[in-house]
This record gives sequence, C-alpha cells and structure tokens, in this order.
Amino acid sequence: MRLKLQVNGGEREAEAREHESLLTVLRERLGLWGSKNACEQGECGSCSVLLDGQLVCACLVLAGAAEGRDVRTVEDLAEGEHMHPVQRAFVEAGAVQCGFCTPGFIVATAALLRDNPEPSEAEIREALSGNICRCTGYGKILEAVRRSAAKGYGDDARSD
Amino acid sequence: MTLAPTKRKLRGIVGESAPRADAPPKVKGEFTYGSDLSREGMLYGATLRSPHAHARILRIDVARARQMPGVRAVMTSDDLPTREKFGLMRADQPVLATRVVRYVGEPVALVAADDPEQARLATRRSRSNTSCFPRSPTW
Repeated sequence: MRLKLQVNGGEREAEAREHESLLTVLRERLGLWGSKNACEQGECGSCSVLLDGQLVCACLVLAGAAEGRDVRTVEDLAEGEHMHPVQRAFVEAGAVQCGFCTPGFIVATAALLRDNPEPSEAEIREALSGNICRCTGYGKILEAVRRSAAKGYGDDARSD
Repeated sequence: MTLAPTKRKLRGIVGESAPRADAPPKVKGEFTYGSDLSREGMLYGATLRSPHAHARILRIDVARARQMPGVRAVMTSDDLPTREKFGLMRADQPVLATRVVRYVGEPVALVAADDPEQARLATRRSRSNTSCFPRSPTW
C-alpha cells in the first residue's frame, strides 16, 4: 500500500506492506536511521518517536496507523550543527557510550521536559522507564536529564 | 623521586573533561551502526539456533526453507567451505554447529532472503532432529 505520512514537518510518501511497522518505514523506506531497531517488542525504547506529540515505540505502531498523523523522530531535534538543548546536555554529561539507546532517550527526555520542565527524580525515572541502556550508563543519563531541566529547557529551547 | 613539572600544558588528556568526538552524531541519530547499513537489492540474514544445551544433530532438514518465496540461500555446516574453528582463547568453536550443539543459541543454519520476515520464517520452517545428551554444566 502507498502511505502518506507527515514526518518531521514534511509530507512523505512510502510503500509499505500491511504488517510493517512505522519503524520499518521510517528506517528502510524513508532513510531515517536515527530511530533504532533493537527488541522489536516495545521493551527497549530505542525506536521512541512522537506520534501526534505522544511518545510511542515506532516498532509497535503499524505504518498504516500513522497515516495522516504527525510523526517526529530524533532527526527533527537538531538544526544542522545546532543541537537541541537535550542533545547538548547528553554530550556534556557524558551520557553517551555505545549510543544505540541514545536517540530513544533523547526523544523520551525531550517529551518529558516539554510536558514537565521541572521533573522530580521520581518523575524522571518514571518517564525514562521505557528506555533500556545496555551499557548501563543510567547515572550519566539521569544527570543529563537533570542538567537540561536545570538549564531551563523551555527558555533554552526558545532562545535557540 | 620527584617529578619535574612539565613546561607545556597538555590539553585534552589528563585532568581535563574532553568531550567525546562520537557523542554529537550519536545524540543526533546520525551515527551509523551495522544495522543501519543499506544497499539496493541487499539480502537479509536470519539464524536458526540450537534450543538445546547439548545434543547430537541427527539431521537438519532445510529443503522446505530453500523453496520458500524470497529465500536465496540456506547454509548448514555441510555447506561450509572449511571446517576451520575459531575462538578467543582457544579455537574450538565451529562456524555452524557440526554433528553436535554445545549451547543454547549455537548457530545451526543461516538463511539469506529478500526481506527479514522471509528469512526468519525460513528458519522456523527448518527442522533439525536432535538427540539430547545429559547436560554437563561447567563452572
């Protein structure tokens, strides 16, 4: 089937079979390789994207179900060389190791701070509970989230 | 022993917080991993793995898998050009299980197909008859 999708603010068309996931279409048809394919069962959060603003695992969304809806991937956050404040915080905090989980954590963190600019420690952990880091670098990841919250994510985002 | 202070200040080595060069592409989703590589017309692989900890392989039946749509190649240890073994400490690991399997998850057969679903389905249609040995855990 031929799909019309709104991806990162642009109109995109892609061929997909009925059973294929949004993740497969984003990666293999549209060349957006930033969302990672790891567990394929909604456990690891590596494929986190925003669907109509809501954080979802792209591996659990059928591509057909995303038609006509607003899809935002990790590629939407930076503007060229200019990183999103959450991305900068992850770099500065040393929250990136192998990096395979990183795009998912970045999208989940951006979604958290958009809705809750000053999250408590418990709220951060709850919001990121759907993302797994196999390098187990959670300490630095949590520090990166605290760092971007402390910097006033909202103000920073606006000034960019 | 005393160390003479260095005249030239070393930069970006000891005592400095050096940013990781690979961090910016990774946070932007631009860093390319093996699973992000793609070529026009490339095939996808899947592996049939041992469900047993220790068993003798009596027969591997891949005839049905070979005839499935999209399947381009199926390989068992019989198809390997060599019996060479590999390993980090000692080269005792066959490329594909030969005659016996020695752990759960040991690769038994490989499939290459036009898409990942066809490849995975073909591994599920492959049959191996095995006779299990008593488990022999090593500590």
